Formats: sequence, structure tokens, C-alpha cells
Amino acid sequence: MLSKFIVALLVLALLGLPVAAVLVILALLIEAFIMPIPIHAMIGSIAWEQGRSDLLFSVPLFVLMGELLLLSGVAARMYGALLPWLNWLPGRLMHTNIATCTLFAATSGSSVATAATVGTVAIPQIKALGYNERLFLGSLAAGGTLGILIPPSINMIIYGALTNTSIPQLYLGGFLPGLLLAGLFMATILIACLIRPSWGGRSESYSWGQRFAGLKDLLPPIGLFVLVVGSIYAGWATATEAAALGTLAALGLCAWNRQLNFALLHKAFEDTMRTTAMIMLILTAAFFLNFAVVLTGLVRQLTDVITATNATPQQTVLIIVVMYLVLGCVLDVLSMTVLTVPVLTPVMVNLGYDAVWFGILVMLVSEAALITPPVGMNAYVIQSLRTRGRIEDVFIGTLPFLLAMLATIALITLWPDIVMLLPRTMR
Amino acid sequence: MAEPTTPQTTEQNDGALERVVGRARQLSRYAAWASGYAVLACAALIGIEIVLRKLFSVSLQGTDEISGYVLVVTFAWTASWALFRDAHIRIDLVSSRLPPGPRRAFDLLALASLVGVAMLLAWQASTVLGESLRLGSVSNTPLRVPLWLPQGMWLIGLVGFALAAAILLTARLFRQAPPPPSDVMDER
Repeated sequence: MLSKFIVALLVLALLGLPVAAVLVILALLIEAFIMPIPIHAMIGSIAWEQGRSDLLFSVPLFVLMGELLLLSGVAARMYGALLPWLNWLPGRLMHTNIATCTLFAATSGSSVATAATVGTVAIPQIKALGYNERLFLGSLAAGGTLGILIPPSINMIIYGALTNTSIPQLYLGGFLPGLLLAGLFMATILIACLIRPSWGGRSESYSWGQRFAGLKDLLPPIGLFVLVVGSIYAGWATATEAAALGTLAALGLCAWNRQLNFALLHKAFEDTMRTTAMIMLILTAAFFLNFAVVLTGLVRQLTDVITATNATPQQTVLIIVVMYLVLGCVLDVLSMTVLTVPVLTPVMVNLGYDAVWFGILVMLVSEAALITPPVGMNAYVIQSLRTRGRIEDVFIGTLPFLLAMLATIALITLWPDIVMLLPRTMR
Repeated sequence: MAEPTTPQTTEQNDGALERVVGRARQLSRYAAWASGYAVLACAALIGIEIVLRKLFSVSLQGTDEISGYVLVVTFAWTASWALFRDAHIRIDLVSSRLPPGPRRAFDLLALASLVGVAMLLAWQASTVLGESLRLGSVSNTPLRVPLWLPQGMWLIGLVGFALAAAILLTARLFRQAPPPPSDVMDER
């Protein structure tokens, strides 16, 4: 049955049907051929019960917050503030790219929004100072992926909703791996520019006065991070309440920087609801399919298959990571998540892994999927911000950073404590 | 009914259909604006709730319940907007590499499957609403919301989604020109 299911999935997906429709049709196929009970009659109550979710209400909030932050100009100020501090490192601006992405990721729940926001600021700088264009673009596409690993994270919310995992635990779990990955990104740039100094661009010098003068521009993003993540751990707010506070603060920042009018607000609403409705339709379909899949006992079958291979847990992780890397080349991250997570998470928990740990692993392989051809969304976002050149430049430029991601995956597999250290303090 | 074979009539049909599509698109854009304001208003309500709770130890009660209704209703009301913006993700690895003729068939099939999903959703949502009306259900919370109210708004949105998808499918069936390019790339 497992193999029939996968074949049906592949055929429907390659026909180019919308992913939500693929999921619904799979559930109806289960009703038609495997479980002759009226599964289709459940879609109404599943759509209602799962759709009126207080937790998932944070999805439109985070998307709107991202749209507002893009308008607010806060990223350009952050970039200007971080630049004088990192300019002495070989690779200069590229370190600023990573640092800005890291800090912005701490206020943003989306990798695509992080890449778009920081990319808008950084890309005009490439030619002026003579950087290796590919590596520079790669640092932005890859740095942007930190958006979903460093809390807050829309993708962690979706993972948590699909698997009933605690969002505060997932947020804490992403923190150290996020900093580790950002550090490895910077090490990648450093090594590349030590080998080829010409890639690193020309230097500009800054006085200590300039360095300290810029620091005040870091206050808004740090304040947002404290509001959106800190308020959860202070016990002031749930994940959704924290997202609401962040949205209000982002709106306030836009107004403060005089970037707000009705036309821009309506444009932000249009993009927010487009993304929200897209995510919610897929999630509704995924909850419906999940209901049907649970009836079939597919999860136990898959666990049996994996147990029968006599692989060690680490070998199993290796197989799953390879599978995700392949899937990530052909699927977008959301589709990949809703298709695999409801089935694989219970399997991994049965094998002795923590659902929080597996969630962070899913974030890391999702980040890889965002920069691998042919459908790596972050690479396309960066490409769309350039006025010339080909998408291949971006994909080639991300390759060294992909190695850093794989290294992070290996490290959290060998030492799960990198993920679990902080969540454990909260239990 | 005019003869559908004469080129002139086809053109007229084309124009009329395009106008209907244009109106439906504009309507769903307004729904997106209204939904955006609803989300923002709900955020403000949550903000007020937190301030009251922290400073005065007073709770408004039920903001989480309202957030849930706002999400499920705004999703239903803007699913058609996402459709008009070509945002419902599909894997076009195969179809994007095909010549225009077969690609058009794949695109129509994809749209038709969405019409089916939207109709199934609207149909089953109507049974959920019917049940609530029959039982006079109210939410099991301090707010005691009569469920027909949010569920009715939810159903209206889903019926709108099904109608919009059907209109778009009809227009694309009769249109020779390729559909406008997807804007999936400016996703964020």
C-alpha cells in the first residue's frame, strides 16, 4: 500500500495539479480503494475545526509583519549599522549580509521575506565595490534561509500545528543551530576570501565614532525580537499574541518612519492574504489527508519498513536527510513539509528522537531546499532583485553555503544537545 | 443564444467573459483588503487584551476564539484572491517544459481540480452549517458565539471561491491566449 500511495502521489504531483488538490484527491483515493467509509464527508468539519486555529492565526500576522517591515526601511538602517563593525573581515559586505540576515531572521518568520528584505538593501552594493558577484548573491540567498530557523518562524508554527509540538520549545530549539549556521556561513565566506582575496571587494574605512553612531539603528530589530520571542518566555504572551504585538510594532515603525499610506497598506494586505490563503488551503487539505492516512495505518507500516532495515538511528537520519535533499529539489518547502511531516514525525519519535529535534532537522533541510535548483525559492527571490544576469549565478553562489548547512545537519545529528540544550531548560 | 461558430460571436463572448473575470478579481481584491483590516483589528484586540491583563489583571476573554474565527473566515474569503494571483502552489516541473498546446491542457486540468476541491469544500461546509443551525449550536466558551454566524460567513467565502474558480475555468476554456504569467516568484 505504501508503494501504491507514493506512485499515486508522484503521478498527481507531476501532472502539475495544485498541491492542495493532490492532497484532497489522495484522501479520496484512500476512500475509494482502501477504506470504504465516507472520508469525503469529513472535510467540512476538519476544515472548520483545524481552520479556526488560534495558533495558525499567527501565520497572517507574521506575513503581514514581514510586509510591513519591508516597507518600514528598518533593514537598510540595520545594514548600515552592522557594516562598519564587520568591514575589516576578509569578505567585508558579505559578512554584513549574513549578520543582517541573522538579526532580521530574529524578527521575521519567513526565509523568503528575509532574503527579499536584506537583498533589496544589499544587491545595489555588489558592483560598486568589486565583489565576486556569485558568492555575494549566494550569501544573500543562503543567509535569508535563516529566517525559518531563528525564531520566530512560520514554518515551525506549521510543523507544530501538524504534529502538536510546543511552539516555545521549537523556538528555543532553533536558536543555537541558527547561530551555529550563521557562524558557519561567515566561516565559509572567510575561507573563500582568504583563498581568493580578489573575491572580497575593496575596503572602506570607518571611524569608531561612525561605528557607535549606527548602533541606535539596531534598537528597533532587537526590540522587535524581545517583543515577539522574549514575551513568550517571560510568560506574557502565547506565540500568537507575541506575533500580534510584533505586527502592531511593525505598523508603528512604518508610521514612525513615515512610510505608511492607504495604498501601501492595501498592497501589504493583498500580499498577506494571498500567501495566507495559499498556506491555509494546503494545510486544510493536509489535515484532511492526514485524517485518512491515520485510518490506513501507513505510519506503522513505514515504521516497520524502517525497523526491518536494521539501520541505526543515525543511519536512518542519513537516509531521511538524503530523501529530503532530493524532495527539496523538486518540491517547494511547504508542500514538502505537509507531505512528509505528519507521517515521518511519529516514525522518528518511535525511533527515539524528540519531536522538537526532528522539527529543527526539518527546518534545516527546508533551508537546503530553498537554495537548491531547479525550484529553490530563495535563489529566485534574489534573482528577481537583480536587473541582469542568470539564475545559474545565484545557484552556483549558494553551493559553498549548502556545505555549511550539511555540516550543521551532521553536527546536530552527532550532538542532538545543540538543539535540545535550551528546550530542556524550559521543561 | 448566438451561433458559437462565428468568429465575431466568439470575440463578444470573450469580452463578456473577461469582464466577468475582471469583476470577480476586483471583488476578491476587496475581500483581501477587508480581511487585512480584520487581521489588523484582531491584532489590536490582542494587544489591548495583553495590556489589560498585565497592567490591570483584567481579561477580555475569548480573543483566541475570535482570532480563530477571523482566520478561518478570512481564508475562505481570500482563497479566490490567491487563485486570481496564481498563488496556489503546483509542481510545474513537467508542464512548464511542454509546448504551449499540452501545457494549456495541464493548466486547465489543474484549474479544474481546484474547482472540484472548492466545490467539495463548499458542499461539506454547508452540511457543517446545516448541523449547527439544526442544533442551534453555540460555542462552548464564555463568549457563547452562535456558530451559524462565523460558519455562515465561512460558507459564503467558500461558495465564492468555488464560483470564482468555475468562472476562471470557463474563461480559460474559451480563451485562446495563454494565461498571464504566474507571479509565484514575488512570493513572500
